[in-house]
Amino acid sequence: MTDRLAGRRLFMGLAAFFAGTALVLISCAVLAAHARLFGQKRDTAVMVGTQLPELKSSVALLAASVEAEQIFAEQALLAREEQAAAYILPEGSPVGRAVSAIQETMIGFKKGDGLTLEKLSFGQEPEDHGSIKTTAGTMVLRGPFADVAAFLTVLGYGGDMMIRDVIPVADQQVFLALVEETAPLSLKGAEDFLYLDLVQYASSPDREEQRILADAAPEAAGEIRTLLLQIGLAGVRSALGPVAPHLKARELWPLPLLRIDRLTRDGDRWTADITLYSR
Amino acid sequence: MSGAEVCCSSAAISAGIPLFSKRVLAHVQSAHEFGEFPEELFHGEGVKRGRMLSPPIRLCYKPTGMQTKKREQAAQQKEPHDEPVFLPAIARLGVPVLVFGTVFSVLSFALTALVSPDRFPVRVGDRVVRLADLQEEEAALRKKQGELLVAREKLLQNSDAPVLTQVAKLRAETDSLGALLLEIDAVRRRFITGDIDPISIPQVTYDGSTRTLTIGGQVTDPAGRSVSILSRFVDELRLIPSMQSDGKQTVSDPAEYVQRDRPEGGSVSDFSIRLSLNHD
Repeated sequence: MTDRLAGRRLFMGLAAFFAGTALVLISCAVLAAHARLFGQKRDTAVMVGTQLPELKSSVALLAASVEAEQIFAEQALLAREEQAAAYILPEGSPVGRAVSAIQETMIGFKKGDGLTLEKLSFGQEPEDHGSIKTTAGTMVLRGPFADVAAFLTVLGYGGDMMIRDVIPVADQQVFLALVEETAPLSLKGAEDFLYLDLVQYASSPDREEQRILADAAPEAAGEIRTLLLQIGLAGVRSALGPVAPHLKARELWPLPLLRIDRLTRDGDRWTADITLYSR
Repeated sequence: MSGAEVCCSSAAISAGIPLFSKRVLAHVQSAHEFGEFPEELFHGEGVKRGRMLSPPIRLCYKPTGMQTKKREQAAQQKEPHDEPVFLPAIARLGVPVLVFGTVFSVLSFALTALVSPDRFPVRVGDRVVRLADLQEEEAALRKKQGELLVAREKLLQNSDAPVLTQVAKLRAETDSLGALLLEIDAVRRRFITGDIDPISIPQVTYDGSTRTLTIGGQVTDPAGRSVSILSRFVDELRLIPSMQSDGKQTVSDPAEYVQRDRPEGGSVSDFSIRLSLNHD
């Protein structure tokens, strides 16, 4: 009986010792975690405190530019909508304007002397697809690989009107974010830049870029210009640039929307089956 | 103590070393119990300790070894010196440790709950604000920024312009064939060294229904490495940005990499490569 009592007392004592030790360890862990939390919070406070003034000015600038852009976009889009309805998806036959555009592009295209338009023909009646009508045609070109590729690249800008039409939406966001980050004062100009007429940009790309980057630091301007070239404006400069003044002078911009259904090369003879769109 | 000589004077007993004296006496007693008798027993001079005057007694005995087995068995049963000492000592500390741990943990949790870092003021520029307020302000600004970005994104889409929306949709279905041909030509030109233009592409076929472009031609090399040039040409075509698609093969390999010797020297390899513009 005495032994059992002593054993039980021993067990209780040991249990109390280990429970007490566990509580001490847990408390130490809690205090250590709390101390670490203090450190983290202090770092957070320093970080937030540093970013907050910049964030405030950024949000204020963004709010002002979005408000201004809303007004501008409404007017710009209204004008572009009218242009698109008249020249890109006309209600009548698109053939006449398309023939002029292709021919004048060929004339304005001065890259090499070997490129010629041998034949251009279109079907008599457009095919009705509900809200859209299509007119099939055939275009025969004669010329070397590089010249035909450049010519087709220019025709590929058919349907585009503004700079934002040749830059994917995600890349536009990247561009605006970069301007906002590196040259916040140029943000409004950058947003307007996206609504700039593509042929106007292609005619004098450096001048148009300089207009939006006038307030940016040289390093930031260089970075923004590089990004613009990467996200689609390099092609505009090289392909559309040489013919842009001619197209502008002949009032053939925007080019009609044209789809190449089939292209075959036989020596220097290139045959393209194309489709024009109308409403 | 078994088998050893034990000596003890009565002076030690009377001088107040009770534990030792008791143990000695108990041993002597047990020696008698087990039939072991002191070897010698004699008296000496008396020693005065305190108020007690006891005759000098010196007990010396040596166990005789009789009944040793029995004695060891009894000793094994008792073994008072082998009892655990460490665990009872820890058990004695149990209650104080538990009390300390409880008080410490209560204080720790109370400290954690009461002394929150969010309540502490932080100096930001020329003002002092609580960290919680600072974070709330930041969250509100971020939310507003997100709303403005969404509003701007909506502006970037022609939602209120039906013809423009239709044009954008048709444009998305149209391949930039000219741009791709330019890229291919640029790749081809990278292989020109001096007067040697090793790659010719006389066959080009684009099928809009399958959105595939097939280019065919020949690679010639005076040094007889036309297959090597062809494989590098294919690799370069795969690096064209519009040909890059996640995990999808957009540029096929030629049906075979074969080179033939040319009568005028070097080698020639024919090729036909299919490029898919359909990345869906």
